[in-house]
Amino acid sequence: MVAWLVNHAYLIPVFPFLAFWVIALFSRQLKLYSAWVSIGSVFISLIFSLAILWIKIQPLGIERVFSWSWKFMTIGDKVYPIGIQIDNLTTVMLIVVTLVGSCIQIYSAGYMAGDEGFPRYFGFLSLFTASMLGLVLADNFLLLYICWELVGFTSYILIGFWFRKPSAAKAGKKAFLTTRTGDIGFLLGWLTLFGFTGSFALSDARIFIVNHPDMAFLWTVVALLVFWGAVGKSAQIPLHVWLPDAMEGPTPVSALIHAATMVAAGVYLVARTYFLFASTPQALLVVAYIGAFTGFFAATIGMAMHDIKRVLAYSTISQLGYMMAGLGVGGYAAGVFHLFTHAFFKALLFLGAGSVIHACHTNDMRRMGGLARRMPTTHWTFVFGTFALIGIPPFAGFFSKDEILASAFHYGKEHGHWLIFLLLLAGVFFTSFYMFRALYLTFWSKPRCSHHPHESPQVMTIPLVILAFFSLTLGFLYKAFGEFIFVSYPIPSEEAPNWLVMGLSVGMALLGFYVAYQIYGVGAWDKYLLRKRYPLLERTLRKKYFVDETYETLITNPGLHLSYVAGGFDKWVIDGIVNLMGYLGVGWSFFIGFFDKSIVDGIYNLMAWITGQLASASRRLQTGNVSNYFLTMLASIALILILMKFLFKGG
Amino acid sequence: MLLTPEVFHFYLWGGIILVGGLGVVFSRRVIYSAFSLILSLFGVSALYVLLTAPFLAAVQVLLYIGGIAVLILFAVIVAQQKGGGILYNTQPHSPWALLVVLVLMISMGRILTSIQWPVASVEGRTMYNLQISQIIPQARGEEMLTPQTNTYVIGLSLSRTYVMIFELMSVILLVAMIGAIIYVRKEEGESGSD
Amino acid sequence: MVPTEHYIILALALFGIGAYGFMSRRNLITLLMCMELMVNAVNILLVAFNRNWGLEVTRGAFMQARDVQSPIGQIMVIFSITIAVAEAGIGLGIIILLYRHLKTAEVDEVNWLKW
Repeated sequence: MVAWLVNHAYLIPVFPFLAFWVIALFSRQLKLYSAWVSIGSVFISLIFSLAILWIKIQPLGIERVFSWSWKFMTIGDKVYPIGIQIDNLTTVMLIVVTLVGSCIQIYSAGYMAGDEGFPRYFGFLSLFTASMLGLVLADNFLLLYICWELVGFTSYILIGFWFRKPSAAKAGKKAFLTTRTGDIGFLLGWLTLFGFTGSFALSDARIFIVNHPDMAFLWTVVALLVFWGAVGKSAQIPLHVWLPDAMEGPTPVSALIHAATMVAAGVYLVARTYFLFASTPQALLVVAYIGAFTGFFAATIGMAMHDIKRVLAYSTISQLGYMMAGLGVGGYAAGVFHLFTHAFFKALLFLGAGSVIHACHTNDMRRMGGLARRMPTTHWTFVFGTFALIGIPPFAGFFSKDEILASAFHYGKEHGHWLIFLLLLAGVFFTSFYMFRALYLTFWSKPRCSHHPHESPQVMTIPLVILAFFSLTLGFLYKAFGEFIFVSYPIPSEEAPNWLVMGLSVGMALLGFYVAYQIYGVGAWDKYLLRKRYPLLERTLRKKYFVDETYETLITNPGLHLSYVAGGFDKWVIDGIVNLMGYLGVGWSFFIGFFDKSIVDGIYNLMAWITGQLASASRRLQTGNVSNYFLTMLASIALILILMKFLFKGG
Repeated sequence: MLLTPEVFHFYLWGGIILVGGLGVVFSRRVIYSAFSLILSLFGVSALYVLLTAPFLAAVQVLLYIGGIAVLILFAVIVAQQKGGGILYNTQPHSPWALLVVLVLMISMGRILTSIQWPVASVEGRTMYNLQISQIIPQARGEEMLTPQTNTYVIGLSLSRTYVMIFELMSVILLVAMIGAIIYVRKEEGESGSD
Repeated sequence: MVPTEHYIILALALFGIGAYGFMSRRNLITLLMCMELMVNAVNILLVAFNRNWGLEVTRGAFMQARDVQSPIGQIMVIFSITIAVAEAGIGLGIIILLYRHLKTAEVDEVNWLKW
């Protein structure tokens, strides 16, 4: 059974894809059952993924790589195969996508109940799952890029799911355009690689790069281009602006796409093409700095947000920055492990937030409060997710984040770039602060809700409990996970547990908790202190460092003005020329028309008249009598026979 | 050519076929035409026996005479015109038809007979001889042999080599049957006064 | 052994009779009968050719080919008869329908498709 599943593992993305078509074609008939179709398909994929994992954790199974290949096209005598490949990194991603995906889809069945677009929602969710699975399975740049774009597209339609709301439609557009900006980089990057290697396959590119260390500068450029794509998808600075706005979509979508899987695709891309980055220390340094800055600044913005989903969105950006930084400083396993654990606890946090929003009918944390007693399951699972996120031992996030910090520390010791480590460490404090702020405002303070919230139905709480379980336990896998990933990409791993870093990290987290407790717990410190003392700083944070405004001023508005100028030029100059040509044409046409009417038409009329006469003469042949037709037919055959007799003497 | 029994029967039944055919064409009443058709078809069946195709002969009798001819008889009865029958009347282009047919037949006959057809040499190795020992081998006390009779071979071909065409044929028959029923069915509200 | 040429001439004659009848007669049912005559002429040809060529045509395609004559011509006749049955059914249906609507069964009165 397991062997059969593994032998047919290439079917993994097929099931959600089929589910998408089934739902798309039969949404009227299926109605609410479309949820079952979607959940069932992702569940089948989950079974396949678990079978692969089972094979991988057998003795000697860890180094097995499963791959399938098909001929995609033949140009000249060159064959371009397209295939999928399951190594250990892919296995991890498969588990994340299918396991988190099934939890979120089950949750969605409760969350989206009663929405008019219910089947549409699940259809798109299936399409997204299929493309994401295709993305992690691809063994070549072409399929990877196709799925990469598909993922972006489904993200766009799901952000704009409530497209009647103008803000949602606008957010969808913004997300799509911003990620497209990044995708251009990725496209250019892999096309450059293709131009040199003549093959789409990642393995070929890897071999080529290893064999050509003399072209290091080119590889740096290509790596930065590919990383630019990852920046767009994973919402790193400076392309992070779309992710907070993407929270306009349904909350489970935010959980699945904009926290657990799709935004992690950028990190996955860097991990997948790590051979490229590993060949150039400069590119890795850029990755590390961008990640660290993102991790720090997004965390600071998170402190000033009032919308619970936006807090989580900035938290996601920040954590993605941690992953990137982890990859950048050489902590390959650490970055991927953080991606793995983050998918679970961030999905949990988003689903918890969704549960809260479902109960309170608002996103604004200032109008929540005191929900701990009314929604015990949601509360406890949210607390678990928070502990995992800020890295309290023994929750999952502690291990993964600690590994990243240890890698950064090690990097600082070896290469001197201590700023990365410091930024990440400071980020821990801010993360802890804004998460406890959210907990206080939402669950632990006095009730400020306009009505009486109640616990969500079981279909929503059970996925929360499952994810909370994983958030608690996954961290203990860190050693096994490191070995698991190590086989996939042997990078010298960081050394034994670094107690100093561990203590610093936990201390920062507790400090953040203490500050939050003083401000929001007992109210000992004035929460408007920052606004009173440093109004400019507070305003900067609240306006998200004015990035949106900067883009508006620097890119959007000049673009608009340029369009106006181009429009004016078009209207007056181009249109004038076109109109002049038009008048000339009209004059010429009058002359031609006269010639046409008298002479050309005369010839045609004559022809038509002759044809008409012929036709009225020959229509007598159509007697309408079947026998007559048969006679004509036989006579013709006889004629042909006789002609053949004369023409071909031998016949 | 010696007047063997085979030759005798060929000319006897060939004559019957042609007489029947002429009867179809030149009978004064449709009902006579139908009877002549039956005669002609029966002659064809006899020719099949001569051509060592006993199964086809049986099919000819069953399907053509038992099916089509009887169907035509029914149609004659249903479509009988007032006055008891139709007199022999021809279309105005009949002389031309005769000319064309004669020219065609003569030229085709010349072409076909000018070809050197291979001489049939199937005696001694055909399986069409219906010996009782081949059908029931136990009658001779020997071990079981494959009974390679004509019917057996045709059945084998129909159910193996040509099974797809066979199935298609049944679909065609079904469609024709349904089509015929839909044609002759009286429409709703149509008066059945014929 | 009657030579194949004789069968050919017989079939041609039968076909000619049928064709002439098809062209000259006016009654639709007679026309249908003439069509059956033509079909039968072709069937005779098929079986006659099969007698001579059965061994040569598909020897390799058949089991125990040395002794078995391929029945392909006869199979085709069976299919031809099937088609003829279908055609007769449909044709008679059409004739009865025409008769019901036009009160006639004569072919030159059913000529709405003329000029």
